[in-house]
Amino acid sequence: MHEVSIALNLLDIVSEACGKSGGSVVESINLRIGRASGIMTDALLFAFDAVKAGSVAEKAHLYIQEVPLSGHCRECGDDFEVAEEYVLSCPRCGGGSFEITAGREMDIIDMEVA
Amino acid sequence: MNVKVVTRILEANDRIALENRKLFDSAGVFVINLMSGPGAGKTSLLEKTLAGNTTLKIGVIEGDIAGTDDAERVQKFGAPVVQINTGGACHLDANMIREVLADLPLDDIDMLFIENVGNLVCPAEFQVGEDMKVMILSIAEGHDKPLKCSEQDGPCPLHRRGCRQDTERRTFPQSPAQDFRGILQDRPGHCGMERLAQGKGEEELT
Repeated sequence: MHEVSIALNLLDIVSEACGKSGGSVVESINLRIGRASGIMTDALLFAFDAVKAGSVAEKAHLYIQEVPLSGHCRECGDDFEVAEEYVLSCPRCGGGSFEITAGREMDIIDMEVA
Repeated sequence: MNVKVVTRILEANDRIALENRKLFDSAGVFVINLMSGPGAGKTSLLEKTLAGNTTLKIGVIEGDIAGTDDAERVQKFGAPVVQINTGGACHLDANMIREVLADLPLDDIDMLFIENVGNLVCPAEFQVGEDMKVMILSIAEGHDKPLKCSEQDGPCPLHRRGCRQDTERRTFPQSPAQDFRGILQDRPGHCGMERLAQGKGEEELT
């Protein structure tokens, strides 16, 4: 729902990093996006295409590595991974006390500049 | 050439949020980012707070997609208020807050309420420089709302509003209060629930 804001933040960061690196154009960007980050990757790709026009990243392609949602159950001690983008209870014991250990990432890893 | 970046995408927003926070701290203002779904009672809670017996000097930033209704409601209590119209955006971000700070007498305010856009999804992601996030849930939204909007399940005190009229329109497997407790009791991030309801439903909701 807020992918345009995310895309604008992303553009700010890569433009600044590109300038610092001495490059003049960004060719590609690698992102790591968790399944539970609230980001729809299709919407982010669409939004980034819209906001990148006229910037150093005008021709940049986004590569998105999705991170599955995983957690640790405080009741049965199980480490679990789910296919969904949410988790309501421990898939093994059904307990409601757990912590999310991965899947909320919204990170820029690296990029190719020229 | 490969350039390592390794940063959160929202780092640009968080950086501005930190600048806002420094301004708030130097002016001695405690800032609450008030969030809820549309119509849960954010402005009503502000009205009750402003009408209450407090010696705190309170300021308000109202965030809405359009209109100044909420700012007008709050202004009746004499509190300094700034209305932000996001023009469609579903949340407030740190830059929007930064742009209106000059319009608030920060040195004369002890506590600033930032009433976010009514939305239980996006506002949770964007820091604005607050000391604390507070979420309001209304019973009418459904007893299982904390499960449905898991983005909001970070450390944040939870305020719950309800009234009998609302609960009667919905069927709950058990009482809403029991359900909320059941859902939240094992979530250590939630540090408390407080009843804001008035009227006939009170007994059930305590």
